[in-house]
Amino acid sequence: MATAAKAFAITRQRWSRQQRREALWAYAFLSPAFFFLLALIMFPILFAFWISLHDWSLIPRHFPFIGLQNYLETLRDPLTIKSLRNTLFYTVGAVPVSMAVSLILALIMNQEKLPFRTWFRTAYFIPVITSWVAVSFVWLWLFEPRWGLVNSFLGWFGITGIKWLASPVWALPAIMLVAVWKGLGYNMVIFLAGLQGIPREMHEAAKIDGANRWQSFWFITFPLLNPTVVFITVTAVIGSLQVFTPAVIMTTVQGEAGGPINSTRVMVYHIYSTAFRYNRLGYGAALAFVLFALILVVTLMQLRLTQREVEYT
Amino acid sequence: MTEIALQRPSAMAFLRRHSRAELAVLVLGFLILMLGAVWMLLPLVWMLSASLMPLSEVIKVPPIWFAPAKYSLNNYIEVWGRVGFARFFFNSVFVAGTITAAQLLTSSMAGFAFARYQFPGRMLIFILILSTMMIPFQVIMIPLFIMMARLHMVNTYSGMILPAIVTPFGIFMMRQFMLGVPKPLLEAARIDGASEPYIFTRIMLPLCKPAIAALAIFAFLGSWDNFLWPLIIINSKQLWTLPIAMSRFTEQYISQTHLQMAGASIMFLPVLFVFLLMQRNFIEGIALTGLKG
Amino acid sequence: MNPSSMRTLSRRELLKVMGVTAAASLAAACTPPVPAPAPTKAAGAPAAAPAPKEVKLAHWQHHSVSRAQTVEHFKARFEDENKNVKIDFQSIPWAEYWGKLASAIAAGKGSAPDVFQIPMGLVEEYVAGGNLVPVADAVITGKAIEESYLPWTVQRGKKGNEYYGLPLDVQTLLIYRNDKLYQEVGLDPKANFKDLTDLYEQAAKLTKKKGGQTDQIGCNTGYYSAWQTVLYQQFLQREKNGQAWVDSATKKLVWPKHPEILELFKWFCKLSADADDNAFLTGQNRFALGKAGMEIGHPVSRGTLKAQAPDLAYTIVPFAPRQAGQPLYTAGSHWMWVVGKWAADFMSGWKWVYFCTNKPAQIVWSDIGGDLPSYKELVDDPRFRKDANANVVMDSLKYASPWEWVGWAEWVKEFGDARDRVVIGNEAPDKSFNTMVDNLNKVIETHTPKS
Repeated sequence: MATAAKAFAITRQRWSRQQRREALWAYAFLSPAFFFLLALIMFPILFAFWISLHDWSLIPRHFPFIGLQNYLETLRDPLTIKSLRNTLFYTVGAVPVSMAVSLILALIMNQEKLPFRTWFRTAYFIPVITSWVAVSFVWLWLFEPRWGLVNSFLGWFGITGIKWLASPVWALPAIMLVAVWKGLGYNMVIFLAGLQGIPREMHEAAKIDGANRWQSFWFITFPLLNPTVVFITVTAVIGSLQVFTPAVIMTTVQGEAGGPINSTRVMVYHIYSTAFRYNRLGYGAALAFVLFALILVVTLMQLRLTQREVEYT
Repeated sequence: MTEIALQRPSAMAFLRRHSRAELAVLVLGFLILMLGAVWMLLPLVWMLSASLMPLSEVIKVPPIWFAPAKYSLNNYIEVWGRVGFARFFFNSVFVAGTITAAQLLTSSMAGFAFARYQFPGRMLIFILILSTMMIPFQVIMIPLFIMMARLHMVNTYSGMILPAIVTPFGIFMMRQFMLGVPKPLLEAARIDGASEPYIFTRIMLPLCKPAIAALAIFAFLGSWDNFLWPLIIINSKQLWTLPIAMSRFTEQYISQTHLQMAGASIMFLPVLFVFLLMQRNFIEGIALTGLKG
Repeated sequence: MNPSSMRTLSRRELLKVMGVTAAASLAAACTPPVPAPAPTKAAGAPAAAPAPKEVKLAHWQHHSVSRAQTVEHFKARFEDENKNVKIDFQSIPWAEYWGKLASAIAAGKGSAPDVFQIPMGLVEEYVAGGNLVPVADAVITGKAIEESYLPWTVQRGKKGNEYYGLPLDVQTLLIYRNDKLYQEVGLDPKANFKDLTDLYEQAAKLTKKKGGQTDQIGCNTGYYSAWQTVLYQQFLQREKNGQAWVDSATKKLVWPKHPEILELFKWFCKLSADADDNAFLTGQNRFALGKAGMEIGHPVSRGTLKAQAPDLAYTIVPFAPRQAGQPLYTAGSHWMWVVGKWAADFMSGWKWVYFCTNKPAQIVWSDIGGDLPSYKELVDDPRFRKDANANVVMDSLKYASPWEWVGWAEWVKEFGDARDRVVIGNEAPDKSFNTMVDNLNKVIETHTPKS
């Protein structure tokens, strides 16, 4: 390390052999992934951006170039504003809850002393792999305002009158609950993988020093879990801003999804509907790039705020 | 079974160590966990139940959780009996298996590059790769299809597989896990004269087993259930994967939910199998020096 | 380190093996598959009279078990009679039909299907974009089409003097009544409605709502777009001399000019608020579950009900006229089979389409899947009138006029939103109605081909 530092100091103007070697190896390891992505994903994305600058009606074969008009329209379109608001509400509500609960679950599932540990892990993971049709049917029933279990349960606490999926106010929270419920196992598995790597010696040393369970978690586990936490936060936000299936499968009436007065209309459904049901591919693509810009900004902010190298002492 | 047997001796010690209040809390916690587990399994129970009943029973509310009198294997016979079902199963296994292997390979290699090396454009390329996750697939579907058509890859296995070979999610995940591996460990190996590929395969990868296992689960799950792109790109029945075959059960005016559930129950098993296989890596864990976070 | 490195070795080896297998398979799979989707034409070999060219037709439609069966049946017979034609039939899941069709048409010749189906409301746009070819005269002339088919099943496929499609999946709108629930409240399920007020009263009688809780709804109004389409069209067709609801000069809806239409909208919202309940068994099929007194539906719902509720006794009656004594009316819809401009052989394409939509074919459609005929001659044929409900259905073919939507999915959305704003959002009906009209005018503008 010291040698490299000295070498760097001496040859500051040009790369050292060491650095060049590193860079080449990096590019070598990176190339397969990068070139596939470039060809098969980035290129279509650029094409899609090109489409967004046109009034692209496939069927009438009408493709006039209209520059940024589509983008201006998104700002004025009340349906788009509503979809964005729904999506943001969904993300802000669902991500923290999902992360907190799955972390707790992972901590519990990581305990060796837990009886039937494998069964529990499997049980909590099963919603992730259960068909959405089945999940939707059961949850539609659970949320049934009159006979469903959710309202019966709330009834014990004196809370009545919530119409869940029939209510413009409660439909989106209902969807969020289902989506969080279904995704718990997913994040639990990632947290488990992260927890696995924390050496037991750390916890044992802490215990010897007199730390209790909470301190052990907060001062040792959680910091060491940082890369995992960053990963889950960023991917959960990216995923939530692009939520589609939960909102669509549970609130589709006559082929049109979006819940009572568009209260569960999310951006990706709005994009899909605009592009394929209303046949306006140009405007749909513009909507997608508006969403893209939002996601990019939020992600960059997150990475900035949370990224730090983990140091071992 | 073995778990319980081994724990019994320490169970007594466990009981003695904690006060009654603490025990009460633990028991309560365990009960809540159990109730939670039951809650998690509800849709699965209904799914299995629905797969054994005719449609008129399946649409009934309250949902019929368990009614042996109404059960029969008709739905499974109809689903499995469709010509070529074994073929669809093979196609799904082949496509999902290939994609999973490819994603593991490309993700760990790219993650290694980001975690291990400093190089010009490191952050930029990472953001670029990450940004491909920020566009919903429906938007790039048509451009991608046109490309595939020009390359004569419509209605081929490669047409189905190639767009899925790289996953930014996987790259990000492997990067994070590899970032946690202490640098001195890898430096030591390099000083000892190890080549980069050696460091990658013999040192880094073994340390990342839990992450690789987790990624394998997600990669398989994603590609096994993947439906939209295979449907767009495949035209002939010989190449159908299971999700395409299962989509036969939804029509404009009616959903053959009972058959869908039978199909879903069949499709559910391989993913469960992969999960059980991979999560063994979580039980073992790593308990040695100099490890990741 | 030894055990773990051995394990690593085996996983690495596994990955390598899989990678090699994958690569080899990819290489193998990269060779074009044997049945290529693009129509090809290979010159015939025989030495005698020039053999007809080999033609491959790609035929796409959205999936339905009974229709797929019927088409397979036709395909076998057609290929038998026309040895040089091979039909590549694809039955595509309903929800993905649009995505797949759009992608294929975007990619152009070689990917796009030769024969496919589109809703009648989109034919004009497709023709304006130069995507379709008119029905080949040698197969059936325009005059013959007009003489054979019910006018309303082909008129939306006409542009200029040419017809661009032949009909399939013909539907009308009728009211389904639950016999048991009707008898419970002392109503006769078989008696036609007198007028809209009568419908409302019956629905009110059948509704069981108490203190915010619903036990039974009188009328399922969830098919908002059907209700509003038939209500407004009925008024214009029966009382305003068949006035189209889009003014041909201004290309805007004529609804604001007729206060009765706003009244109809208010009537519908009232019906929906009083005799229906969004929060009652949300997401379920209330009529099939026996919890709804009546609902509006297509003849095809008979098949759905047979599968979902085989024991449900129901009666089908015509839609209620606005005022007592007015002639019956219903709005009819259908799809059209069309031939793309990129098709390799137009004659074969249209021959195939006509083979599937001519008179004998329509009898087969009915036999296999219960589909309605569109041939004038078949409307009174007894084989389609096997029970009382079937009689009502077949009669409705005589007094139907086609849905006048310009575009498609947006209308579903606007009709639903307009109703929701009033019933759930408590907005004033006038305001909601005006918003709906404005939005729909924009939609009409988007979908009217620019010349």
